[in-house]
Amino acid sequence: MKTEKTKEESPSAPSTSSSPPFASRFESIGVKVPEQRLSTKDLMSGVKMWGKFDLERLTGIKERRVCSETEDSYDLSLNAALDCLKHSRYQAEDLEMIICCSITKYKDGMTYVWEPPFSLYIKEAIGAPRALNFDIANACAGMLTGVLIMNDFICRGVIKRGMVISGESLTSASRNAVPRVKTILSGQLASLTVGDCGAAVILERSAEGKAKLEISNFVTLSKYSDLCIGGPCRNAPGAQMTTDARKIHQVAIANMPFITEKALKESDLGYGDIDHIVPHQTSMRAIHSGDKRLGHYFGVRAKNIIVNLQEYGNTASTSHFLALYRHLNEKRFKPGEKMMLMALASGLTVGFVIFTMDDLVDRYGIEN
Amino acid sequence: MGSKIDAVGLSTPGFFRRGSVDMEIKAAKDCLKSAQLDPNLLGILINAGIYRDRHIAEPAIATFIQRAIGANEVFTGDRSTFSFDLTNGGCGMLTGMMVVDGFLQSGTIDHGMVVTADTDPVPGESQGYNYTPAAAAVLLSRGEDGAGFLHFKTETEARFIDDLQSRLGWMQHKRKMGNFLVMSQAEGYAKECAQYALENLDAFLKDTSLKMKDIDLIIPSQSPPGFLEELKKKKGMEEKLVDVTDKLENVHTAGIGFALARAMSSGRFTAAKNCLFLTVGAGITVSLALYRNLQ
Repeated sequence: MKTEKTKEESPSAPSTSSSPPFASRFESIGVKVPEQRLSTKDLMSGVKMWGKFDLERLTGIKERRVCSETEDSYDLSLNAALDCLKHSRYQAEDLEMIICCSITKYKDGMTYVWEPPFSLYIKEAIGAPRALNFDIANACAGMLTGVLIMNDFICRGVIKRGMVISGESLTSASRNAVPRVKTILSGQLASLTVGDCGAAVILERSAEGKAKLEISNFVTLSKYSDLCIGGPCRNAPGAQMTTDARKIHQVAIANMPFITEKALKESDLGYGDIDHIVPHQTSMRAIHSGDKRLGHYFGVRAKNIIVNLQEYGNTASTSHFLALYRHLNEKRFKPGEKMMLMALASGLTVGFVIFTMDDLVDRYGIEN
Repeated sequence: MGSKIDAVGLSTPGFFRRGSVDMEIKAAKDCLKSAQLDPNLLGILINAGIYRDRHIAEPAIATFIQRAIGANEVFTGDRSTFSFDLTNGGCGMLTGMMVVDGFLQSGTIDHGMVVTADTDPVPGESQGYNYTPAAAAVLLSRGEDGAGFLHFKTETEARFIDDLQSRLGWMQHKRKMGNFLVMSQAEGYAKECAQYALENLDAFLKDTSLKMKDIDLIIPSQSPPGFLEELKKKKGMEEKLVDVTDKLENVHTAGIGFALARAMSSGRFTAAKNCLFLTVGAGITVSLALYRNLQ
């Protein structure tokens, strides 16, 4: 998204410094995962495939959470928002902006809501009627895109705080894929990796001299926009997703080092300076090969890569905040550590949010 | 310093152009052509349309448009384009412009585009859908001090949250089970929209220290049907409103694009010092923006 500001290429480049007057930070994070678990073994018991295939071995996913009949994207979003407020210093009425970023917008069961905006239902339910609200969608990069937009409003001084929310009720795509997956080359194979989850994060204006979000280099490689397409299933309730996972992986592996390098350069950091990397949680094998490629390119291995897909699967736009939340509660982070959230989503979208861990760690843990 | 509107592009269905994405591509290409801008200079591309081909939810529809117009489809290291979808009912296009305006003001991008289209997603598999298929694109760049978009405001009134609903659900329709789109609109919805829009217009004028006589032109939503007629009942409104319903009735998110294009082609837009964007959507949501032309 950052454009090169040379006179030749960009005649409307700003004449003044683009340094914003304010900065933002993550004030609190909330998560809601459904109680119901579905193991990969149980899911695959319904799949009739030619030859042997071990999804758990290929992806590292042992189980995922699935919505019960009384849960949907709305419940996950709402409960994640309430959990976020529970960890926050703010009340709902203090929020000035609410952005909903779910791919799935199911309410009242498997009914997909197009209008009114999903964010309006959430803001009314949590009690933030004065907040500016709208929905965005950017596949699995949705929440980080919401963070990018809200950060811009905070940095310009338009608002002081707001909430980015997502509730992904995706496992109908798994359920619908089960009778259709016949070979390892099936376009619906990736649908078997998803899990349900809700996540919310409050962004606030960072005090002067305190930690801030460094957001850089959100890019859409649209040449590959048709590699993963999701929408309503033609002959069953819920969703259906067709993915060329192999090609997405190839494109990501080929481009990731250069885009990562540019993002790090804009933040004046080296790859070795990052203490924790939170990648999009697709599969263990993809994360490991990405780590290997980046390590080879930068000549230094990542200090720590956070993976939690063993228990939750790929929870789409919520995956980064689910991983952060869990590790915050396990007291795995220390103030001052450099964090990098890496988005990789259909589109093909790549993006980075880099920040320094601060006293956010104090509000999470077993006692909280 | 507000962002300025460089060009508008429009599209309606043609022989080889029936879907929402095809219409958006045409509108976006015409918009870029009109502004004579290299698509590779687009920093952000937002799709604000709701009713899209086959209800595609992933990836963002904007990524298909980015690819078709040839805006940095691959990473070259020098420049890049970022695409995503934004929905806010009938106010989506203006909300998209507000987001682009922000990125222009912060110096993150130099050019941004909001594209929108609505069409019956799966013809024959919807009930109550009656929007006219149409697409619009608006190109924005950084403007001069004291000109362009100067103020945005959005308010919602959830008393009317059930008055316009659009849902996709598994049901039987014409002896066939499927995921069908069902839209419902309460009687009196247009009147409520107009009433709430006018209430917020008064508050907006106070916020901007303007009086109604200072507003030279109003670019309003073109739906729901009856909304413009209700607005025109207020004294002094009719001559300021741009109404394109004589040509295209009930255009949804692209409505302000069509109104803007008409005002631009007739010269009314450039002649207006203070131009007001007034949009309404389900919720009820009212979004307003003040756009100033340097005279």
